[in-house]
Amino acid sequence: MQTLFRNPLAGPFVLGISSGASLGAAILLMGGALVGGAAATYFSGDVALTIAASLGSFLVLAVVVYVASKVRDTLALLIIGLMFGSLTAALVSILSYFADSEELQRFIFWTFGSVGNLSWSQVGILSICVMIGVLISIGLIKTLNSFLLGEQYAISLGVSIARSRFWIIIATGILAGAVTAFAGPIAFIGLAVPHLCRQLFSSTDHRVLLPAVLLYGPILLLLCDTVAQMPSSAYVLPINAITSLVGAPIVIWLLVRKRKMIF
Amino acid sequence: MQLTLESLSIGYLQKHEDLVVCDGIQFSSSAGDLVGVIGSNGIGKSTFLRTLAGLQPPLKGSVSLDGQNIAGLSPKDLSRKISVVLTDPIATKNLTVRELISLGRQPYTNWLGTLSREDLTKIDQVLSMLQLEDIQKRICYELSDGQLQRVMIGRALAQDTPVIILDEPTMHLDLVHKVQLLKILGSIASELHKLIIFSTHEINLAIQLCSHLLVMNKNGASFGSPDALIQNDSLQQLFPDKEVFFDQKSKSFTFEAAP
Repeated sequence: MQTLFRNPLAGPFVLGISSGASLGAAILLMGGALVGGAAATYFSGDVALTIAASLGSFLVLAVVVYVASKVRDTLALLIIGLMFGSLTAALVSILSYFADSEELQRFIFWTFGSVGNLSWSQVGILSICVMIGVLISIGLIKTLNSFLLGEQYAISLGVSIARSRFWIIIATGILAGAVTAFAGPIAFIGLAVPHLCRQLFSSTDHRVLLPAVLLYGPILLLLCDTVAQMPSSAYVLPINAITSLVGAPIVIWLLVRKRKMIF
Repeated sequence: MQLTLESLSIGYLQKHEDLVVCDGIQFSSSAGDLVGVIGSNGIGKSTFLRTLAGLQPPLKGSVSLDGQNIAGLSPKDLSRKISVVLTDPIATKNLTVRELISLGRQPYTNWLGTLSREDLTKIDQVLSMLQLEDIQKRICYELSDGQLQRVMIGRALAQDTPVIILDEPTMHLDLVHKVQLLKILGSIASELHKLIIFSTHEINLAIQLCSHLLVMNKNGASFGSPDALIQNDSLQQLFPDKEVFFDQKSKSFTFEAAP
């Protein structure tokens, strides 16, 4: 995504993609109050949650990509992402106002984020989605490399922009949507890991970066989770708090460095 | 290899009325030519080059290579015919010189972009031809404007196309580097037998170094060798406001010193 948006700060959380997934999940988990209780319990299966979250992220992503093609400014894009975040947050809070306490609790716990408490069938659905997303991404490696030069150069290298955009959106939507559905909207991992990998491998080649990100993302997340579980104590902190504690300084560091616009 | 433009009209498609930037551009040029596109600011040089490169559709008329309209070529086929060096900054400068030039080989690599032995030889040739071997491991944001411009030309050269199009390659360069760069372009055109078309504001240099010029002004465009264009007064019409004028004797533009 950072390559697509030519933007070192792009990531599912910053651009509001995770918020979109939250909105999808919120409508599913709490929208029952609006539609009627029976329908909600019927639809709140795992598959439904995945689909709802994926749809939510697709929707926001598609709008952000559309807007991004209109504005070329890095900063404007980030502000737009923030605004989408606020918009979806507002819709979610309206939903929570009408939701009953049990539904609300379910949703709140979901937003804390958690990498535990999944049944094997849930892990199965998640794996299938991740597999599909990763396979599409592997197919996009060459295209993404040409995007490093900018869109015009990518066209002159024989890349069809519209088609590539479409597949990048599909892959991101599936990956972000499925992960968010099961683990909750976890902040900053998506943004920070690619940068850490670029530093570690000093490369921008997606043939190196894609597998690197696939490995280092989970490693960083599990580290955060270990901290969240606080060994030798009974407390379990919300993982989102930990990832934000790690991720926010990275974003600040990037902004300070951004004078050179390196990604 | 022959590039032919037929009553080409360039501009932008708009909802109500198309915005025509320039009309009736017509010429034919072949491999080995170094064609300079000159004209004042905002006359449509970039639009022309973008249309030529197939990055935007023409409003009317056609651009064809060896009789084949480029509008009918697939993006992949087109990428093996025409390469470009644009004024847009590249999206990331966090690439080494070698990596950047390697990206020029994309039309020839497999689905993962793996470089074959042939690709590597080609890249080495480009590096040595443009004297970039010493800096091939450097990262692009460390380079000077002149070096970066040479690297971008290297990338286009690695794409190994019969036509190379450059939009203001001499921008931001000092006189020495401008002359160097244009000489490099000249030698690429003649030695590697490629057609090079570039826009520039260095009219005096272009008159001396180009084999052909395309002069764009409000009334249209005229094409020919620099001498022919001097003969038929095309260059004099380039800047109608008399601020600068063309001096036939020195074959260059000049201006009157303030009284």
